[in-house]
Amino acid sequence: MSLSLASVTCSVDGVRLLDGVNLSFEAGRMTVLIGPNGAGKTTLLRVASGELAPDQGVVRLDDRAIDQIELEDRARRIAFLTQQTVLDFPFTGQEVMEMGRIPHMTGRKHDREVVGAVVRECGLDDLVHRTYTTLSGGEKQRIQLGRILCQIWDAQSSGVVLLDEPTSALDLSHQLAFFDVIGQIRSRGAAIILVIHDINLAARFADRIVLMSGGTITADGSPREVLGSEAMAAAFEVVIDLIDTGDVDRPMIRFTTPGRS
Amino acid sequence: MKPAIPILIGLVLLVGIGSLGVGSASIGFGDVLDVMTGTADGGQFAYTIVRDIRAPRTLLAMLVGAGIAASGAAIQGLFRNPLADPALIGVSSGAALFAAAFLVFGARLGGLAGLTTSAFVGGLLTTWLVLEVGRRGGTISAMLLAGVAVNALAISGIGLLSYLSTDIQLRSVAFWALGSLNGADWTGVLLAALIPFVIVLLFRERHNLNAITLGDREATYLGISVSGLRIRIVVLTALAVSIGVALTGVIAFIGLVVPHLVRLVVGSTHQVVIPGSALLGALLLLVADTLSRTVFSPAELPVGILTSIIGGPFFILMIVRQKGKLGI
Repeated sequence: MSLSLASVTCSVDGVRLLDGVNLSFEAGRMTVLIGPNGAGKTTLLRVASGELAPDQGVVRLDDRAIDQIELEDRARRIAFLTQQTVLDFPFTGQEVMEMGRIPHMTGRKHDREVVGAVVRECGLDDLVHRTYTTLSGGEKQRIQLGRILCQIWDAQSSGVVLLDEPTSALDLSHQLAFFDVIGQIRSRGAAIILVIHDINLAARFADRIVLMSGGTITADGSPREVLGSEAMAAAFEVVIDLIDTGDVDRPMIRFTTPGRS
Repeated sequence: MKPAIPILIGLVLLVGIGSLGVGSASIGFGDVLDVMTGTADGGQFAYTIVRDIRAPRTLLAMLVGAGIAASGAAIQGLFRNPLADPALIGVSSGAALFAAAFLVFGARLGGLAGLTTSAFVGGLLTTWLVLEVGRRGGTISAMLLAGVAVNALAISGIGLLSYLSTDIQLRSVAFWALGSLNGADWTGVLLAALIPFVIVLLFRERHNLNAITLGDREATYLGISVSGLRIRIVVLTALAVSIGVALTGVIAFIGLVVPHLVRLVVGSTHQVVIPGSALLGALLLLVADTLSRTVFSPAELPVGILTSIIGGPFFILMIVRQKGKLGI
C-alpha cells in the first residue's frame, strides 16, 4: 500500500492552503503532521482522503489516481476521523460504531463481529450501550475512533487511517490507550496519518514527523531531526530547547517566547 | 425494543377497524364486520356509510399520516436536526401554494392528477430552495431559518390567492391552509396508495440517512455520494408530502412529533425510525381525525387545527428540553 501526493496545490474559497506538496505514506508507519494553526494540516488530510480535489497535482492510492476510485471502494480503504463530529440524535454508542460498517455491509453477522472486536480492543464496553448525546467529549471521541476502526478493520495492510486531532479531548490514560490501539492497527500494516498539536506526544509515538508551515512541508524526518531543525523554531516562532528523555531518537521540547528565557 | 414495530402494526389495525364504527351516524360493530366480510344485511345505509365514507377516510388518514411522518424522519436526518418538519420548513405550504394556484388559475387542466402534480412541483421547489439557501448560509440553523422564511412566503402567497379567488374557490383555498380529511374518497385512496412505495424507497436509504447525521463530509468518508442522496430524499419526501397536501391540505406537526416519539422509544437508527414513524404517523393521524369528526359531531373540526393544537405545545416543550443544544 502507498498513498502519495505529487505536486499538490489546493485552494479553498480563493485562499491557497497547500502549495506544491510532495509526500508519500507507507504501510505500517505512523506519520504525525505538526505545524502552527492554518498551516494546511487538515486540508492535507482532506486532499489525501480524496474528498477535496486539488487544483493541481495528483493523489495516488497504490498507483491509481484517487479520483478514479469509486467512493465506496475508497471508503473501504481510507477512514477519516474529523476534528469534531457533531451528532445530535440519541444513537447508542454501538449504533454509531456500526455506521463504520456502512461501506462494507458484508452481512450482519460479520459486521457485528467486527464491531465486537473493536469494542474489546478499545475497552469500549461501558460506552456502547449508553446514549451518544449524553457522553462527555472524550467519551464521544473514543466512540468515534471506534467507528473509524470498524471501518478499516478488514483492510489490514491496505488500510489508511487519517485522524485529525484525535487525542485533543482525551485524558492522560486514554491518550496512552489510544496510541496503544493505533499501534496495533499499524502493526497489522495500515498507514496512519494524524494531526496532533501536542509536540511531545507526537515525538513520543511517531515513526515520522512532517512539519507544515504556510501550506508547504518545511521539515520531514524522525522526531529528533524535525524537532531539532531550524524550520521548527521558525514555523512556531518560539525558541525550542530539546530535552533528553533517555531515548536518543525521541526528545521532548521546552518552548519559550523569543527574547525571554 | 424490537416488539415496538409489531405492537404498532397491531394498534394501527385495531384503531383502523375501530374508527369504522365511530361517527355521527351510529353503526354497530356487528354491522361494520358484516360490511367488511361482505355479508351486510344491516341495510343499504350502513353499507354506504362504512364503505363509501368511513373506509376511504380511515385508509387515507393512515396513508397520509404514514407518508408525512416517514418524510419528517427522513428530512430530520438529512437536515441533521430533530426539529425539522415538512410543515415547519415550508414544504407543505409550498405544495399547498401550488395546489391553490392550480385551483384558481388552472383547474381546467385536469382534476386530481393536475392538482397533485402542481403540489409536487411546489413541494419540490420549496424543499430545494430551503436546502440551497441553507447550504449557502453554511449552517443547519441557516437552513431552518430559510425554511421559516420560505414558509412565510408560501403562506402569504396562499393569502394573495384567496384575495384573488372567487367565493367558491376561496373555500377550497382555505381548505389547504387548515388541513382536513373531509373530502376523502376512493379516488384519493388510490392516489395515496403511492405513499407506501415512497416509504419503501425511503427505507432503502436507511444506512445513508444514518451516515449523514454525522455530517456531509463524514458521510462522504463512508462512501456515500451526498449530493445524490440529497436529491433522492428531497424528491421522495416532496412526493409523499405533496400527495398528502393535495388530498388533505396542510397537516402540521405529525412529521415533527412522530419521529421524535419513535426515537424516544425505539432508538435513532433509521432502520427503526423510518418504519416506526410510518406506523405511528398512520396511528396518530387516524386517532386525530377520528376525534376531529366525533368530538363536535355532527359538526367537524379540521384535523390540521387539532394536530397543531397538540403539536405546537409539544414543539415548545422540545425546544425547552434541548437546553441550548439547538445550535441556533
